[in-house]
Amino acid sequence: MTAPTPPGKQLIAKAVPKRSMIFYPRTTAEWSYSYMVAASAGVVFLARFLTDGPIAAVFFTIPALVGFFFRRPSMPMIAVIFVTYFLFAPGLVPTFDSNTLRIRLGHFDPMNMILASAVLIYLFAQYRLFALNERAMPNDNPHVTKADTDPHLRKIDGIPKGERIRLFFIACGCVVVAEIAWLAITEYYVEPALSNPIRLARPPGLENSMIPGSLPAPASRLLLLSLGIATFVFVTKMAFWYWRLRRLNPQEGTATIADMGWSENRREYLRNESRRARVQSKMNRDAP
Amino acid sequence: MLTRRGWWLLFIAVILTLFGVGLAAGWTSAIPVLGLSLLIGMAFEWCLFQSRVYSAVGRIRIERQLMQGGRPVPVIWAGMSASVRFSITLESPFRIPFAWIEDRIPAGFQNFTGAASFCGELIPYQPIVLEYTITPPLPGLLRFEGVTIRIADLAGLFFKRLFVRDACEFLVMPALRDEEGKHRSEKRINTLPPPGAHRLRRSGGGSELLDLRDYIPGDPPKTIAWKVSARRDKLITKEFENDVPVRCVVFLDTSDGMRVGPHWSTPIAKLADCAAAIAQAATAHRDLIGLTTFDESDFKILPPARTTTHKLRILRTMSESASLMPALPQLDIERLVKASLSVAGDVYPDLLDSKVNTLPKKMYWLPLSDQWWGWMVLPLIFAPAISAIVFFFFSNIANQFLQLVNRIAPNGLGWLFCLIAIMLLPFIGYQIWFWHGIRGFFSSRRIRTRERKQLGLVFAALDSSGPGTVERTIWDDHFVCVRANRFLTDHHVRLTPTLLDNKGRYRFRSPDKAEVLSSAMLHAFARARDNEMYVILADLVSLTLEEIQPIIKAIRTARARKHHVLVVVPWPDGLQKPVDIGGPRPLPPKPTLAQITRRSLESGFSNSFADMRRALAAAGATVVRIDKDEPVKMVLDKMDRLRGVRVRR
Repeated sequence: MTAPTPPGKQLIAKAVPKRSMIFYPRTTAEWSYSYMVAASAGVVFLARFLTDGPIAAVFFTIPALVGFFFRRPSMPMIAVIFVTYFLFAPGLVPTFDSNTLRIRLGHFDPMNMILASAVLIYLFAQYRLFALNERAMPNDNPHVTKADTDPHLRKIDGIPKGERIRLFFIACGCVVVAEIAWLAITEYYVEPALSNPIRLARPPGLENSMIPGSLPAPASRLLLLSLGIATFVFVTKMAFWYWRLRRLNPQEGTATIADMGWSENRREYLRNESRRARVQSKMNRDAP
Repeated sequence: MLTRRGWWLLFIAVILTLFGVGLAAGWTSAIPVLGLSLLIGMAFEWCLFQSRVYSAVGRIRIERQLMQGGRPVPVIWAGMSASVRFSITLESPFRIPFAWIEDRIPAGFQNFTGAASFCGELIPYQPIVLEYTITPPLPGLLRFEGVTIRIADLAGLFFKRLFVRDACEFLVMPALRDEEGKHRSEKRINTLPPPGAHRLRRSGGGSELLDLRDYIPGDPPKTIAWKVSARRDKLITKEFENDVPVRCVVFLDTSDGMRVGPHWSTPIAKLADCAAAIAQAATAHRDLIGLTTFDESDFKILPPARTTTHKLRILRTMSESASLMPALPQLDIERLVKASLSVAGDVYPDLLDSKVNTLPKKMYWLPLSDQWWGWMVLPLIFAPAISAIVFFFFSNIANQFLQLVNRIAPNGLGWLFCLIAIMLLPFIGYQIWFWHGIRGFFSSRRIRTRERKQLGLVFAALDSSGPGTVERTIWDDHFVCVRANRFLTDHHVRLTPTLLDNKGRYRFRSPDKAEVLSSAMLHAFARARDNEMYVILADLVSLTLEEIQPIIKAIRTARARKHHVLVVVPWPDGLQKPVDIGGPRPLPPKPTLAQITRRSLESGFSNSFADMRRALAAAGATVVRIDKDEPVKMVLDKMDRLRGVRVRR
């Protein structure tokens, strides 16, 4: 056996004895993630400012700052909700000027892609920062009732090499895939009455919602989205289910078979147990 | 798998996506793209996390070593610090960027020094080595179950806990008593027999003169005392003392009552430590030492010997005795179930996973047909059908009945009453069926069923006993009690039992051990050679005077054969010593129930001890409490007396 891991790398995560109310990055890792958060939040701010004006930008910034400095994990989500709201209603009140043409012409819009990438990077970087200063994983000890008794923190000297680039590419990749998915959702149409219910959408101006008996466009999009999600979930679940079966240890296998057997023959076993209990009680009664 | 943070983010992503795709797409396509990006990002992270977890399952190897004196050892000594060194190696191609590794430290060692946990990245085929130091105070057993590994993604959205089982046990031998073992009495040159022997006032082959007597033909000429013979004018022969070994036999009580207590503080651990000190000191003096362990049913003998191998065998037996777990069938079953489930949750999280250990809702329903009286409800439920059969097949009887009804209640009301009466019966029957069945969903019964089902499947998996064990665990209290007790014993988990029963009697008295001890003593006397030393380390205070009569008889037999008997009894921690009590201590003016109970316990225990001491002293035995090292010193002093040396101190 080799020598113990040097103390420098043996990072014993313990409860932070006394942390200040306002977060200030101290370690290299905290600084690195803080830079990422600031950069991505800055891009979001800029994008919102240029597109929808200062109110939309400020409404994103306030919860983002609160979340950053006061370590509130709910704040990034609120910031994203604000971003969404001001995308929907730039002037605080929705304008109700829906136009289907915008959908067909709005694919791969650079501003949208930049905004979505920045929001994604902001969220992932901010939650990585929370893993350093707030909580990295839930405390699954059932005996600990107080939430912050011993928060499990991720303690690192510096972020792993290439993580920033990886995060950037993952976020951009997700946005590209999302754009492709959005394109597929809008360019295809569900018409349940036809023998081939999924077909290409008609050109702009001849949308299917105008044809009697066909599904409205939003319903068609939701149906396609649900179909896509269901397919993805089914395939990945099946893959992981098979992987899990391959990884079962003997005790898990025994337990799984026993559980199935119990589930199928529960009433029979219950009858046996009732009989056993009756005989036992009779024996106890008859015993001197 | 998802953390709370993860659930919230997924919720937001789904809402944004639905809102964007369904409604807001006409305004801007940024919202659906943002929602879909979030969803796809989470799905990607989930797939990555799942892949890492599944690739790690079953591919984490643990190597554990217990080090003492700078080298790996199979057993360790009490009172000396030992290092636990373990390494974790991930043998899968995927790295785990964030893992929390924590050793499941044996109970009673919360104050260790060193690192028992690691937080960081697990890189394939790069072992993480951790080391911490523990110091077992008394003999016993160290059981290491394995290592808990918590895996999370870097953003804290997904989480999984694994337990890598690597159960290994290390025996903790009694402390080495160097100062006692090395201690030598002041040796008088040429008057002492060689170490390990003492003088016996009987003629034998020793070197000390015992007596002079007339010469008997056949006596060896070298024994003739020539000067005395010349003076008396007849042949006088010298008789020498006999040199025989000093033998000490230790009787160690291993009954259930001795095993009860917190880790490393049980009475048996203390007595074993004391007995080990005696054994080591005796061996250092080259005296013969034997050990007899006894409980309520049987005794085991290690006959006296003086070799180092024998000493180690004795110490090992004492350690094994000290690590015995009590059988606790008297415990509250629900408490036993909860404790077992807690241990199972720590050590077998894979067997409690909802994918393996399913909890279908139907299992809470209590079927009426499983009750013998449940079949009586059936006629109520089928009352309309029975009435129709009666009407059609026994029309005469039915007509007469209807006429009777019409006569009693005219104007057709009789029909109505009949109908209501017939429909009322099934209503009552269904009510009974429903309320009987739904009781299983009520809180207490539901929790009980769920816990027992989960535990039952763990037992079924561990014993490979099939699905019947699950249902038996749910319904059979006795089975649960025995099996859960065994489960806790296997994992070396000690519960604090209720020591007194409803009538205030001590639950772990074990009166049968008196007979067994008596038999063991008589067995030892039968193989004794001369006046020997018998040290009884047993809890005799909890027995009544009538119950210790066999022991008193055995002690009298021993004394009649010139043996020495010393009885050492354990004294419970925190209980006032008889010397300190000095008569009944006054209670405060307004005593609490706890104070009254404690006072009662103290006085009751002290009185029992005094009675027992008086009875055994009358039989010729010396009774001492285990308090510091006094019993050890006393035993060694007595052995010195046997050897013919002055008292040590």
